[in-house]
Amino acid sequence: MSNTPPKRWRVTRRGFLIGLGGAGVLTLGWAVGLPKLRMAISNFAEGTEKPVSRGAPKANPTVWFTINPDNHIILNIQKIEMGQGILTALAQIAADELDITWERIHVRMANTGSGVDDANGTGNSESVVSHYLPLRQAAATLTVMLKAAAASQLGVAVGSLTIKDATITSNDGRSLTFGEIVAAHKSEWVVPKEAPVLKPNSAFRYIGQSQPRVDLPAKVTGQIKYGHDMRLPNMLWGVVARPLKFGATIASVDPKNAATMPGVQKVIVEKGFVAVAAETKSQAQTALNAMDIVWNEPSTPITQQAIENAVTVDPNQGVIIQHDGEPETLLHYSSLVIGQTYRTPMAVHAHLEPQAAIVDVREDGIDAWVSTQVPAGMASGIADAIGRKASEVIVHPVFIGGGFGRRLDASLGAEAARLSAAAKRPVMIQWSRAEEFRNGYVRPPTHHVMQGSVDSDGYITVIAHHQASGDVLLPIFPAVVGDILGWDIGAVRGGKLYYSAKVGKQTVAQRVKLPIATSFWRGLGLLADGFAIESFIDELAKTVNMDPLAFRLKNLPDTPFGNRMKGVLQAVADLAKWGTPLPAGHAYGIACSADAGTCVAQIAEVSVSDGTINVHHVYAAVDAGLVINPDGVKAQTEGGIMMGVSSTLVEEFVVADGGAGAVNFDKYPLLRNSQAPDISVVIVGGGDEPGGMGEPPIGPVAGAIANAVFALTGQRLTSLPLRLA
Amino acid sequence: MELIINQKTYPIPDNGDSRPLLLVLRDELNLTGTKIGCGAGICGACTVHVDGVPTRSCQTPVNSVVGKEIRTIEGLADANGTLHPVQQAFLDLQVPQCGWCMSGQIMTAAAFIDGNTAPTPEQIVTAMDKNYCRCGTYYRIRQAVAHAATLKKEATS
Repeated sequence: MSNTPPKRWRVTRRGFLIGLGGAGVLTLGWAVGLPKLRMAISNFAEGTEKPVSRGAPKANPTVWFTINPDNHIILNIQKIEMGQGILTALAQIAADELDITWERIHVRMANTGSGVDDANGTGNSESVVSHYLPLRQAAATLTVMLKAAAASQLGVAVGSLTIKDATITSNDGRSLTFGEIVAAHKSEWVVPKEAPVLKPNSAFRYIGQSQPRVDLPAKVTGQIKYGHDMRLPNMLWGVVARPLKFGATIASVDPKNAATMPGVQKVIVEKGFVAVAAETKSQAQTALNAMDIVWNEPSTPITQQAIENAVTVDPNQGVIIQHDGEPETLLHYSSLVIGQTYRTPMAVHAHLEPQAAIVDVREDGIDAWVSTQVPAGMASGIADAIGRKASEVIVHPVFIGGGFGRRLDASLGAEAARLSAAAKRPVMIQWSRAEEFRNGYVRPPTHHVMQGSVDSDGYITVIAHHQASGDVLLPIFPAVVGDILGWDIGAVRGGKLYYSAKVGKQTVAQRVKLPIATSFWRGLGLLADGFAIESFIDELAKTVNMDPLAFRLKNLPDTPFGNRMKGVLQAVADLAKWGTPLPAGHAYGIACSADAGTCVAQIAEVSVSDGTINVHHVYAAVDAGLVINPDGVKAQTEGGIMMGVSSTLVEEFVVADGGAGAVNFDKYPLLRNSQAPDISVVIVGGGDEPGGMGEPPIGPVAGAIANAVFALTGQRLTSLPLRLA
Repeated sequence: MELIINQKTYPIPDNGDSRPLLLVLRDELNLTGTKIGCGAGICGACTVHVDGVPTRSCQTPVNSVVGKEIRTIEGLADANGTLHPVQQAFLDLQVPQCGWCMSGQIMTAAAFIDGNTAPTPEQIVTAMDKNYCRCGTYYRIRQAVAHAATLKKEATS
């Protein structure tokens, strides 16, 4: 290996990085620059007005392509596959710009420290959005560089070369593969200064096609490895003492004889951290159970009622985050203004793969295999927990069995690292389902007051939304950020009013600090806000006896955005044949929302039997701009709808006796197959820019169902989960 | 103590206990294709076949399956790697998203179409109703099970 060239990185002013990995292997990519990172972070929750930063982002070099001698091309990317099809979508983008056959491209989730660290993590429906152009630019530049090298190696002019499927041929018939060019290239790679010419959209072969998911063959045979499946030789199993009650802290510990119990290798009793590592998981649990741990519980008991009381709109609280025209002139003085309140409960993520991490802390470095949406953040969290440097930690990304916002927390890896550092062996920690319910974070509860009025011509004159919510985004910032801002951008995601109002409109965000942990959940505030706004729009339509579709079309603005919203509404109406008679006892409800640059409209078909709401079919129209993988867009739409239906019909997390009201799915059921609707999806729109898809489809679901229930029964249900009177 | 899993014999320690088959598969034999979800027999992620019957391995004491034919997702495709019709159908319809529940879904469906090659939509829903999928692939699962039954019928006719 002595003749292996050292790893070299060259940074040009345009931000490209190239390196020689192993012998004759070229890697090249695009440094995602700081402005771009900041933009992505501030967009993290539709923060278009008051962007906030998570502190200075690390300047993370991104080195995306590896060309192997066998002429296969590997896309190294630190986006995590959690079912959203991201590996496939990014491969499609790269393969198209490289103009190579599908079989030639391979995607690898990159380790931290490998040069492709992605400080954004995977979430926020932004992976395709943020990578679409930079990835194409890097691929196009790579092609230019390979052409220049081929010209030199063949002794011909660049203009005489043609490229086909990773082979460059000169007009005298000689050809070299990309792999051969890289293997033979002895000098420094020079990154061209000119911006690369990108392929026209008409040349796309894979973008816009439903390429089969690259991760699925191993998912139907059980071969794919998730964090929970990782095992290391000589590993120990760790368990951590966790409170049964919210807000409880460890008062005192008598470890008894835990340290000498069978299989036990390490017992840690430190302030706030009591844990055991043993040869088997049951040995570790047995030892932990043998300890005498006394918990301090909060002096004021945390109750469900107290949480609901706290999360209740107070007209004197909140920050005005949207104010157009003069809504107060009518809100305060007109008897024509109607009002309604809506409430949504807490919810768990219920990712079916319980959280798991295996961490191997050694003198010479630290390796971690963790189910995480944020490998770079996990590396920092692990390092901080054991007093090492983040650069010493390699987080090996693994497939995730359901993310939904739950895999953003570094404490999981930190705990395993503390045990591993003490035991000097690799340690795996797997959460139980009960721990997931008791000790995770939940979607915050929300309360909404909607007010509005419609004139006799069917135009909205005034509309206002005041939302109270527990925190979503603020828990990842220093406390001072929340104190200064006064509102949580994530909580009101989807909460600004997108309809026109002749006199004025306003949105008020009221932050509520709760004594239990609330944070990210798919779509952040989108599901709750969509429920409140879209239910209320139907109530406004009712005041003038207008058709809910016609009322929406009339009151969306005549702007490019408004026209896209009208486009999805019309498309879903056509798909579902809105306005034509349904079977007796069935009714339609309609709703729409916009998120992450994507507009979605849905129609739900419901019936009621024995007091139960049945959702038979959900129709959806999606305008996600430029679509990379239509079947992927459909799959994400189906998934978002099902998760939304589950929240609308069955899910509700409550506090009971100061702790979690449910510790498993017996008391917190999820949507089952027999409750799950058929789904039809139509994709509309187009253009040159992709929109996000991971979260937007969850926006309209609850409103569409509630509106259908109203159409069918005359009951306006204003709390999730929907329960008929 | 010995277990017969996918037609192979695995010696395991007889601890005199009734530890769940699931933990033996995952933690002792490193057969991690079978997944844990709830540990309470609710979600179905841990479904395996015991003598052809879909069984929640998290609720199955290991000493109760000694001498029985256990089949896991790792043993569902045939010896030369040809996928079971259910696996093929789940691939054809691009069913999995995160995939964690899928071995349970597929094992449940495989046992179902073994006993019913012409299932009605209602029978499919009933058969698949006790397997959670948090990613929300339920509609595709229903379509894929129907497709699998067709594939199986074609293969045997």
